[in-house]
Amino acid sequence: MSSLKLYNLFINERVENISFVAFFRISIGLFVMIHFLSIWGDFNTLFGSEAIINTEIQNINRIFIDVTDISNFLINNLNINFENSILLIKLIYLFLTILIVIGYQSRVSAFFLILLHASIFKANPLLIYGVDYITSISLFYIAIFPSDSTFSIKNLIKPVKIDYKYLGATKIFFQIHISIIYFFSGLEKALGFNWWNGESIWKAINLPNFYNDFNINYSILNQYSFVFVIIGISVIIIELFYPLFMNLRMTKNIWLTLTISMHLGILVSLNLYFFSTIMIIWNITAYYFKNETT
Amino acid sequence: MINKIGVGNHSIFRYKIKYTLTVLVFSFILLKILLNSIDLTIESYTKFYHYEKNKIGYFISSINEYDVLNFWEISGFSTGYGFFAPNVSSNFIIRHKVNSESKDVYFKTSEHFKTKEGNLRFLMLNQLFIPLVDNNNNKLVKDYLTLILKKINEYEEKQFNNNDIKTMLFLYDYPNLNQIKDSNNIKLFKLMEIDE
Repeated sequence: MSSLKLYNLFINERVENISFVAFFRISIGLFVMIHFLSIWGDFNTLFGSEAIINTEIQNINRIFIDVTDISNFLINNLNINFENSILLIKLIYLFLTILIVIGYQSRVSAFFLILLHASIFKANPLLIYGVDYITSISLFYIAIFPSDSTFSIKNLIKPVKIDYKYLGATKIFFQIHISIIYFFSGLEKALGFNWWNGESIWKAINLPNFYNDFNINYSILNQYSFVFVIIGISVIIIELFYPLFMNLRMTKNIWLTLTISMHLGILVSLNLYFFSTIMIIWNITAYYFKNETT
Repeated sequence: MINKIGVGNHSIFRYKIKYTLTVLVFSFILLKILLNSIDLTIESYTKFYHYEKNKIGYFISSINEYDVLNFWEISGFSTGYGFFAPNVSSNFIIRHKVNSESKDVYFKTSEHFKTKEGNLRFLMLNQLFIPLVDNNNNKLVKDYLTLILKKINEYEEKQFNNNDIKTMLFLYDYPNLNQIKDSNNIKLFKLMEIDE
């Protein structure tokens, strides 16, 4: 198949379902809002100059301005005290997530939220984990998707003209990205040895610093170590072969179910609620909404 | 809501230029994502097995390091995707001891946090201490880790208004699948202690 035919197949003749844009925008907006609210009570303990490990020590590389810089700016220019400056930063963050959820200037809001997110979280690299990176990337996608084009306040006020060719390109871009994520995640696990012999699963469920909200008693599985071996190898297979089986019509639904099940398993066993949720959102956005090629 | 592709009312030429630029930018970003993933996979593999990177590895790293205005870092595209890989790493516990006349009190830093997510974030600090069990003799790294523990100790002293608090870092060693059949004793190995 020549490259021009391939181009036509994927771009020109693609009948795109725009619902994925609305789903992604609303889900991520709500996710970022709830995730931020979940640390509301510990914000000062984690971030800023009065944190348990203050930002000045963490932000050695000065990737970006941090929350202390923004707080000082507000204190000097608005004549408010430290507590109110932090409260204002938190409220601005929430306000931007609300704009994204309701679909009013969501692309601009996502852009500013990426910067605010970086100043709070990226500036404190010791206290962040995978979900914060995926959150930044998600906000980037909201900024580049035609996010206000459907199920949005902006579209209600004045209907947004949709460029379907651009929509198709952004979706393919998103699908390729998520395929890269899973492939390399699976590859790195395959390069280790504990994912092949079940030790990684066993170690993960017995880590001291994760919660066990569902009070699952894993000790009954001590005598059945083959269960952990099967789970470990299954994780490698699901991730490593994700780009292949997710993009074949015959296996797409099965693989989507397996991937989402894997993340639900992580949610239940390790209680990584937010990380599991955002990855499920990504999978549904990329592959649940059907589009037809003519 | 399924609609057919339409070109719109733009002039064909201007539209084609805009669309071509869009595809080029997306392709560039995807290339960076791919390069970054390859670089971090090589890094993770060589670090884990204590191998030395070859010339290709260093070449890829040198290209991957390049960042304009920290765009890749801020957008999140500079992250790796090796979650819990190549192996699930060791875990650490930070404990404190408040010396008192009546009874010494032990507690964990994590008990300060009001929210589960806040606690989880603090516990991500664990990744920092891996070099202590990795035979890493880099003095700068050890000094930095000592500084981190000192800061935590200072915080606790401020919270309790007490200068006599000791902070200890332990390696958490849970029995593996073979060992658990004989015994479920968890071992804690003290790695560092801060007493100032």
